[in-house]
Amino acid sequence: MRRAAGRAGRAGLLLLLGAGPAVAHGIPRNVGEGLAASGGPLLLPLLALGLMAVMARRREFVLAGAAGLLAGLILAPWIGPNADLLALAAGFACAVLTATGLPLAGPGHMALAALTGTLAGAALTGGHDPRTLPAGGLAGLALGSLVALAGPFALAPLLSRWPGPLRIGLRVAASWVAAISALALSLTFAGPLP
Amino acid sequence: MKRIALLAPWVLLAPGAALAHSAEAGGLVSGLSHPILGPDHVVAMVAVGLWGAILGRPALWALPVAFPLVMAFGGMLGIMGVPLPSVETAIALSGVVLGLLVAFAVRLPLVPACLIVGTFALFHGYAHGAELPASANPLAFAVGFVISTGALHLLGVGVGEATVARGKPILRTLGAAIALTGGAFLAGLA
Repeated sequence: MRRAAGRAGRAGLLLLLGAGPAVAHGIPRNVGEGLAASGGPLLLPLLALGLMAVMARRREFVLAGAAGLLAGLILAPWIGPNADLLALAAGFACAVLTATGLPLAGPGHMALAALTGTLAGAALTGGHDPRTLPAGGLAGLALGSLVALAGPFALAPLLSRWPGPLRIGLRVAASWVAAISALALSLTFAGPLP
Repeated sequence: MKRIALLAPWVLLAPGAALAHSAEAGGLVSGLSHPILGPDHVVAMVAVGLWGAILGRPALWALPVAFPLVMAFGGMLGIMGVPLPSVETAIALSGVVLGLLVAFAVRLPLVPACLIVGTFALFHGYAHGAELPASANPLAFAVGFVISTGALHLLGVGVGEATVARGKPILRTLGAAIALTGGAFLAGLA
């Protein structure tokens, strides 16, 4: 069983790495264009990570994701053009973990948070070397994605006031994000996302 | 609230064109309207929420969480063109089965309940997914139909929670109406 799972995992990874780049990226030239470019399908992994952080009530997830995001912007040329697929897959994992309601306190969750942020950061530049991007565009990308990542954590104070309904709401929202991420992931194999 | 609850069966029974699987797929608005314009989808989604209300926690939230996850898997099969037999029949059957479960206030453990709902979710997702690649903006369409489906679940949960405390006759009537609607689709009358 474990061997089969390992084989499936390796095949999945090869499939992801072998697929064509999913999201067509224009180079953002200023802050406005950077903000707009950060609002596409790559919002999904960032939102999923934000939901996981607020569900676990762990600010460290946001910080790990943010650090990963900035690292990803720098490491983009080395991660390659399929970072968007991998980011969607990591976001899907975050959303599923949040939706299932399993405990989110393990070191693996922290690693997943950092990985999701890194892949999303790399995907935002479309594999371009950040030194070739205009500073305004890069700042817009970073700002937009950090807001998307940290936004859900604004719900954290409400979670202590209404833990029951809000936790249910977060899990339902996470299941929606997971569903959309899975569909986005499969759509990328059918052709580039708009 | 009572008036709305009394009107609901008539709304559900009212004849309407089954547009869900014939409309040209487009973007977000098409995705949002896709489940709503198909009465066969609407009744099944609402039934999921109603049945969750009957089963109580944790099924109350577990069913609306499980449905989109499995539905996405069905959608992926549809996008990839994996053949799945009798999709329309299974969707109509979902209305009948889920309606009857609500009508008879059947109480099942969480796992079998999730399995029943998940099985039908697969077919609903497949029907949506099969139309995705042809649509103008498939991602926006996917976002739309996931949100719309979830909203219908929440509507069912809301109606169920509002009525379950006052006894179950209203819920049972709604369940019977849903089963009849599903039956009409199954028999090709709608």
